[in-house]
Amino acid sequence: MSLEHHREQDVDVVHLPPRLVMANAGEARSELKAIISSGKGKVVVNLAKTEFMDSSGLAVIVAGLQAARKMDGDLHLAHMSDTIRALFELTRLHTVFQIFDDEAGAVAAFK
Amino acid sequence: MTSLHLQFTSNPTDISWHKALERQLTALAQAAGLDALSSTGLQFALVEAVNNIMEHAYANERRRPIDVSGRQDPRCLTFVLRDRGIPMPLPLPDGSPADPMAESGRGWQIIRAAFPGVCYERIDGENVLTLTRPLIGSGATPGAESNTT
Repeated sequence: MSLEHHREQDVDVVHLPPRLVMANAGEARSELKAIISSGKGKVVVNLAKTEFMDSSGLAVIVAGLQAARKMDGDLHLAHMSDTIRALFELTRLHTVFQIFDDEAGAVAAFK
Repeated sequence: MTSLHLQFTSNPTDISWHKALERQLTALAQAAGLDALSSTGLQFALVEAVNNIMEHAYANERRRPIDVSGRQDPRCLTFVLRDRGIPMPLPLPDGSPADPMAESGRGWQIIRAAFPGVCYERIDGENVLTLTRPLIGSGATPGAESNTT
């Protein structure tokens, strides 16, 4: 799959694919955790391209949050569409993530 | 469009059925007067229900039959999912919220949020899951849950 990833100072910014579902969640989970473990535990997940997600996709993001927090870091979310936000609210995951309108704000919140 | 019908086979790494489901479901939901967000909520739920078939009923085995049908009547939208895998354990999950930090346990929460009416039956070796969504203003009440084996 190869998640799109770049680093801004000590913050890892990761873009998730248009559909994050059972079919690709395992691979995405492994890649996200590898990115996090190679960094400082400060992670921004950019959802600008993500149009659809199922519970397996949600699990990928929760696994990333857990990995970041184990490193005394955090995982911020950015560019969430209305439909993905509805899914987060339905599953109450919006209560455990910091959600930002854009990537720059999500990165800046680490500083 | 007032009905939907998809037949495909199980393959946990293939998502080609997603697009077909989205296309037919969008048309059906629009005909029923649902807005885009509500339509996507139905899509989230139906994808979870099909995922359950692939992952649990068929234990990730490939090339097993899955049939999804849907129809609109004046009172509700009804979807029926059929497979020939192992029976669902009963009682069905009640959709209670998962621990926010848990990695699993959200599938039924998503299904039940979209479909107040859930009926599961095992008929002649086939799992039949019927999901019902009352239409606003129809006067219909959410269907009570029932399980039949």
